[in-house]
Amino acid sequence: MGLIENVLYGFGVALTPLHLFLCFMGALAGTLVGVLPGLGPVGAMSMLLPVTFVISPTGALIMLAGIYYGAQYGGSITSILLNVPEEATTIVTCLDGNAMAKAGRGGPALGISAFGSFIAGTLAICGTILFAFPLTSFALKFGPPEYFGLICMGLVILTYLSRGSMLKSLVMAVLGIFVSTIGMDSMTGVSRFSFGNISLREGVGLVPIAMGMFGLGEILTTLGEERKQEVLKAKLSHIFPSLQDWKDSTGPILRGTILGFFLGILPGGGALVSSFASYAVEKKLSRYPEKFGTGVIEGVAGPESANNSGAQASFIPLLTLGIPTNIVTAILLGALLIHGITPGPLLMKEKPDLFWGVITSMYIGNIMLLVLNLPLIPLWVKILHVPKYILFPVILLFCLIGVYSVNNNVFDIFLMIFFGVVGYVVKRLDFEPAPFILAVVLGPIFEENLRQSLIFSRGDFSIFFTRPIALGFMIVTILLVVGPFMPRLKRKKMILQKE
Amino acid sequence: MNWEDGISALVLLALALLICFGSFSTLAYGNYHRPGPGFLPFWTGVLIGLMSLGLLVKSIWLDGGPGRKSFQGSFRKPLFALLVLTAYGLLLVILGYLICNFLLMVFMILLMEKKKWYVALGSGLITALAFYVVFSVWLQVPLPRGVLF
Repeated sequence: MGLIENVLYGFGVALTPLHLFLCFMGALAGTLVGVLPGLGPVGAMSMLLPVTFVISPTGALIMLAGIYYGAQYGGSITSILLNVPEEATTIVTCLDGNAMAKAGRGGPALGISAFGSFIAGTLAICGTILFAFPLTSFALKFGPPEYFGLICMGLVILTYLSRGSMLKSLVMAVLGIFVSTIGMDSMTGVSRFSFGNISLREGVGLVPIAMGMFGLGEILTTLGEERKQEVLKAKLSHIFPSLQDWKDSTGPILRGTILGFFLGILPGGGALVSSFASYAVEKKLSRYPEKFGTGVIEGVAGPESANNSGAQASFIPLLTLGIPTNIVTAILLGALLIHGITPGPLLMKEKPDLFWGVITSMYIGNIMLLVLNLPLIPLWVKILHVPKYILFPVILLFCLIGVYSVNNNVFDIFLMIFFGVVGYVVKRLDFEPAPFILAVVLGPIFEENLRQSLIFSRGDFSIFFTRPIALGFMIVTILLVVGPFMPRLKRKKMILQKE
Repeated sequence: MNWEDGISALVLLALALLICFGSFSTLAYGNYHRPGPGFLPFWTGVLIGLMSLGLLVKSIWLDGGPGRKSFQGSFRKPLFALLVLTAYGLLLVILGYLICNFLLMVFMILLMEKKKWYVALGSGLITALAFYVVFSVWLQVPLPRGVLF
């Protein structure tokens, strides 16, 4: 089938009533999650993961994907109105978005954020469709050494881009790989570090870890500190940007889309890196960079477009290579594995309905989000008034029910509590949880490819450096590991983080 | 010296030693031609150990000052929340999810805002029933009913 036929087939799958409903529910849940404090898309996806067991893998992925890019839209609302970025990907939006809101231009800020995200999402989906075929053909050349190299690179890129100390992030990544080895060894059937516990013999599931560290950990942190939220009392009017706003935003939207797309494909990339990079680029290219931070629309249009474009593009490595590039796609990989599907270069051939259905549903989801976000902004703002003493226990209940229903095992609840404490402690000590979770998901693939490579090469480690593609990945990995310890590159990274 | 990083490093070092010891003594290491089940856990322990030594050195010699105090603020509410959650886990199969959800809501509301008892009871009841309708009736998620139902 040609490209156009595949896309039309995908629309045929995505436009069924059930998939439309699931797409809508995902987008709605994502927006809600993006608006509400205490729960990010990772926590929300983990909570809704058990719900997906009763639906098809295609439907599950459509819904979960909707949560991811829906959260990008929802996070902008709190960033602009409250100056509180409930998602890390909308941190930069606070800088100029909230300043615009305080100056009485909250409407255009929210409007350009929604429209920019829609345009970027649409273009990114076109890019995804165009890139899927060549990337899949490229991925067919991958063997165990290439996959091992790619995973190493992905983990290291994520640790490099994490806030704070890279050493601490690397420790978390390696700890994650260790935790992934707990349970039965897939190659020999030997039980590892299960201490005779039947539940641990199955391994430590992704859901208790993700819900514990991101859901419960966040709630415990919030319980321990008092944070008052002041909702902007100013009336929101004129949510449609003016002609001048469009004139000023067109360049940033297009640049943000392209930048976000290519950064989103990279391992460790996605919405987060894209939004920061776009802000830096717009500031550099602007005729009046000193005005950034005071309420310029370019500071909202660029990053918001980039974060949505990056979010869409991050699906490409997952669907074509079977490698998640960030936490969110790691959860999606976990969801696919639970449904018995291993994504990779053959997914397009073996499961075209899933592959093309998910890609085309993202376009439909973006349309839904544009409709949901603009007219419903006053409703989303009202939701922010839900008192915390109701909100947090409800989130906890979602987490508890979600984690229990995966295996109907109370032990998973205690695992979630344990990782909740771990999440609380590590965040306080400036250890990033994201590399840990990505490593837990990638760990089994990492180990399998490492051992297969060594069996194939009869113990010769040079296999990772003599095959060209694997060599390329290993060079990038080594440079990123060594780089932060070199003074000049260390300064550049610190400047990047400061900006 | 950064005390917090120093203590974190020592804890990680201890964990690394346990991992290495556990891998080597209880699992087959194999060899480089055919790595065994203990191969990767052992090397993750080694890497964690090396990096924690690096963190220790950094905290003692390279980081000036005692570092920020990470554990400021109150621990009472988080600790109480953990107790409530642990009790939830222990009682879930015995009392059932409906009663446990109700009790969890009540205790959490009283913990967070010290609302009047009837507010906590009312909110708890409404939430527990709403969860029952959504998860048990609508989504048919099998949840423990407990000995009473």
